[in-house]
Amino acid sequence: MKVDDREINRREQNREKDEFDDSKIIERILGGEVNEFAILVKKYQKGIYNYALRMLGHEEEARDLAQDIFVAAYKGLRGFRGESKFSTWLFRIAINQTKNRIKYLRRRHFFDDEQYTSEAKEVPDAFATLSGSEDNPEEAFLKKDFSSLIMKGLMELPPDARQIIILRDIEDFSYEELSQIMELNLGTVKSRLHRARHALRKVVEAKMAQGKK
Amino acid sequence: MNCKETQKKFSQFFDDLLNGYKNTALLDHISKCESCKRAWNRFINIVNSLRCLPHEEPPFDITPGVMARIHELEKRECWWRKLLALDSLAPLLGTVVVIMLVLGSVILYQKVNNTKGVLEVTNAPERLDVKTHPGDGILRKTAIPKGRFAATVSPLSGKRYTVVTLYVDDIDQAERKITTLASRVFVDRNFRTNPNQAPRKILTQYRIDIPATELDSLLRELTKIGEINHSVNHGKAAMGKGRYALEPGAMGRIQGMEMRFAGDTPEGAGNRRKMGQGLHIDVPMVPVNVVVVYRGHRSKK
Repeated sequence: MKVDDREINRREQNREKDEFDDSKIIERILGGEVNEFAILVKKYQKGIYNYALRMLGHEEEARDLAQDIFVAAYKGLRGFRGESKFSTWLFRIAINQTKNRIKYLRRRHFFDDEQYTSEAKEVPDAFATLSGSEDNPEEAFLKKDFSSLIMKGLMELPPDARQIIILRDIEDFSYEELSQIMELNLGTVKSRLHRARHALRKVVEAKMAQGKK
Repeated sequence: MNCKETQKKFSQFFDDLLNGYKNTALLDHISKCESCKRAWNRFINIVNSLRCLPHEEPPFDITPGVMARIHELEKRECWWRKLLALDSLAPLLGTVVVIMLVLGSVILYQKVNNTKGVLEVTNAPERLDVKTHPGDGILRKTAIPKGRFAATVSPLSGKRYTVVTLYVDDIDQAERKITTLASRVFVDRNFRTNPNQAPRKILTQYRIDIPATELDSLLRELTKIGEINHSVNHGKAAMGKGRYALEPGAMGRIQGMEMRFAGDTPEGAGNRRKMGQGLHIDVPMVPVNVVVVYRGHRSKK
């Protein structure tokens, strides 16, 4: 699944352009044009909402959390010195807000609800099937089922492990960006990601075994 | 590379973080080991599936919700910004800030260099052990209550005091004359009962507080009562249990006298061992300690 060099260059250029645009928008917001913040919200709401959704596993809570993250970002915007990308800075706020929200919800036994302890559905041996390359309705169904199994497995991981997998494998942040977001050194990021992926593999395998029975 | 090491490297291998040698070794192992091959396939299936997970569309109300909250925040927070933005108020506010800074500096300066400030000696000094009894004007020692702050100040407290030894024939006549000399005369009859002193030699001790300028005239008056011998000494105040709230430079009234606490005395260490902390006190009024002795004792000496 390698991407060719031209595609990499195009993505890089887009990212640089994005960061340039972000800093211009931030300048305008700090200059008093508060409504400009809506541009940033629209631009990043998908990533932030999906991060919140995958961390909490609940749409309503994810929506509230996403709003809180943006409001916190707005409050702290004067503290953004442009030393890192805006997206990195925003996700740093997101992980802190999410940690607090998880603590808050745990105190209220939110995660004890049925929704979060439901059994995995009966799943066929998706590993074997997924290795094939045919794109037919049956495979699509299996892929969807496998995705839902992975999501369930992800929800069973501790928040730290879930967070690093989401940021790396779903939100596609680089190791350097992860290191900035999580305020950890590169080595720690690598080992945490390895442990988290390993843990996810174990959970998914266990669910598969359970599904076969 | 064994199976355990190989599987440990899956994550880095997947992300192209292994160097050439380790890369080759891992690929070699996977091609030979069936269980690691299966494990690798499971691993890439999971990570690839994660990467292919669709991004949910966020609810339509996130942006309006955020903006509404931000506008609410702005309304609450920006009144002072608006105030500062008003051109007409800026100079006024600037002046107020400057005045406050100047006043603050003056107050701070006075606090640091306070030599004349009024000191409310609230912690105890009114309970000093040597006190004039309201009835007969005699100095009496009072007990220091346990656990309470208290201090002892010798009747001779002062940075500088004069001791006058007055040799007289008639003690009653001498006392009458001494008490007319100054308005503030303390008579310490306990002095006579002090076991360290010779009671028959020294009859009575008086303290007369007078302005320093009147010391010479007082001495002249005392020579009319009897033969005098005088010396200037440095006194000290000894602090008792607890901590004394006064800081050097503070002004206070002790035994009706205005005093300035100048700091620790050289004798402080000794006093601390015995009674507490020694304090150096500047006394604008010069205390004159008049020790009355029978003339006869001197002649015996």
